[in-house]
Amino acid sequence: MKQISIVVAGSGQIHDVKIEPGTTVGDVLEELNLSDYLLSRGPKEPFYAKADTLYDKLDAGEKLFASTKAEVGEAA
Amino acid sequence: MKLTLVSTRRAPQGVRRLGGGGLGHAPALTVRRQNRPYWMNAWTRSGHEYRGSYQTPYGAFVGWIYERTPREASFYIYQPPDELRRHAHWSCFQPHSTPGWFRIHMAERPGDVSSGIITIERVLMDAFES
Repeated sequence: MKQISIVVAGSGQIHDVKIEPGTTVGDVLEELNLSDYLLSRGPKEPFYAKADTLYDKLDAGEKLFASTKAEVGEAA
Repeated sequence: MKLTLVSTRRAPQGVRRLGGGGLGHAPALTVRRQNRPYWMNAWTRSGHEYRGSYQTPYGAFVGWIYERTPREASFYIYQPPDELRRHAHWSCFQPHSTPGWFRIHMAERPGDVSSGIITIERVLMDAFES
């Protein structure tokens, strides 16, 4: 098990979670009730896909960012 | 090379206190983590308005945000960089009646101001890197 922290960009709230091998981004977001959010290593880093497994990608104690999906584009 | 000792003097009181009055390490400090939204890194809020800058490794770009509701905010940037003017998303930056300012159209609205700032910072970074 590894403990990581998820920082919600909009509120600053920090969730400490424990993940095990095979835990996916989608698992974490669902557990935290953040299904509409995307995870990244930081605001300047690319987003993880929901199917990505986190355990091998992260070290214990790392912090991930959760932000809502948005896109710059022509207004509908 | 030889070393010449010129003089020896006591450390200032503040430094001695930091060292616990003697030799060795000062006691470890616990630095608590901050629970604060992302926008607080470079923006200030006054009512429905946010003033600050979009932060990228290539520079900080002045911005203004008007938040009607938590899920409905308008994002602006002042004097966008030339790199952005050559970017595929440039057409989404519409000149405002106030000279130098551009309104940023969002095809998909962010759920909060912080996520919008992050999105615009990513577009700015992409403009510099592509």
